[in-house]
Amino acid sequence: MSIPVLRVDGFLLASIQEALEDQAAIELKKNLLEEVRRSRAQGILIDVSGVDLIDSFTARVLGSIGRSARLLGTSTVLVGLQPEVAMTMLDLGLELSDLATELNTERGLELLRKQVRTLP
Amino acid sequence: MADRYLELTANDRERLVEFGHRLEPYTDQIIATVTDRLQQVEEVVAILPGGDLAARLRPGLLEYLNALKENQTDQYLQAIGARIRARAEEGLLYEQLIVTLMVLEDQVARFIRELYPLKEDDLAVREAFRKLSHILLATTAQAYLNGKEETIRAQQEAMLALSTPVVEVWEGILALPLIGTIDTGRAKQITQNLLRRIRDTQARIVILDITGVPLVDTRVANHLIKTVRAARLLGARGIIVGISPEVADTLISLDVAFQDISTYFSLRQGLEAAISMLGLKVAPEGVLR
Repeated sequence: MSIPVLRVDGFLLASIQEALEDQAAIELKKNLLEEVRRSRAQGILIDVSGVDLIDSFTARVLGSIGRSARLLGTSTVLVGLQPEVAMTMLDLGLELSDLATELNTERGLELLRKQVRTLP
Repeated sequence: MADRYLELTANDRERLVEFGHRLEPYTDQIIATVTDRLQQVEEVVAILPGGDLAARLRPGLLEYLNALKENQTDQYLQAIGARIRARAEEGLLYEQLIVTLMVLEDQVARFIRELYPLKEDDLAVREAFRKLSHILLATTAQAYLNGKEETIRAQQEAMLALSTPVVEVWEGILALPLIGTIDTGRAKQITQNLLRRIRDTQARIVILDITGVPLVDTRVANHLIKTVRAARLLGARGIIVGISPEVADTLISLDVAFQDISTYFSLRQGLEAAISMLGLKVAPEGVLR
């Protein structure tokens, strides 16, 4: 299943609705980075509110999306992590320290806008 | 192959059944001597029931003697175990329990010599009886421990249930006054609770107040760091307050660093910082207008 990448208000939004297969995660990364390059989006929002498990592979791919996007001058915010998912991730030692995290899409957008405003 | 020490052999059982039958005519005498003796033992005097002690002890002793006679010792031990477990939860002292059983053993053992004039029989019965007494003591000890553990577990649960309130002190600010020791189980429960509240209240800042935590060592510090990281995953920033100079000292000597976590001495300072992080300001009336 491939994840659609939408454009919202100058940012990219990818909404993941169920646990990602490894291949889908890699494809998502490719699509997002390609889209950043093409559209010069200033921020990426990844919504995982519908996901009930994030394994270490997915966490690694998400982290690498954050790092790669940063090299392209774009920040990435992960939004909508469920409390139970967050607990499991911590147990597995997955802290997503390469990504900004926010409660929901609205707050994620707010954070991205603030970052764009403070750009030099 | 090793065999169980705490188990009667078929031979033992046979001896005990026979011993039980021989004891039968002396039932009243046994009850009388056990009663007498118990009244003279300082350790147990306090827990002896009031009224006619012999009459109160009678059913229990008959049960014991019957178990010997009918070869029902396994069932007897099981029943005794359940009862002792309950008594342990009620707060009976271990010493009182064990001394009572030892008095019983002493008094019954006295009959062996009288009832078995032949030295050879005497030894075999003595051996079987001693083993049964050991098993009885071991069963009792285990049951007593189980009962106490049950009590401790129940208390721990009660304490967890008292748990940690998560208070919304300002729009977007949650405070967690942590009180008492923080172990892994409790840390997990606190974190879980906190994350749900962050989601429900959409909080942006979480203040962990550790004023009431008696001991902050590396483990506790790590639990706190983990809780703050969990909050971050849901987009909330963590602040730790209530760090006394002593705790700060310990943390430094333990080489624990709350790197990217803001810390403050008091809850008051933490709240002030949190309010200003939200871009808000609390000022005397009139100043803002």
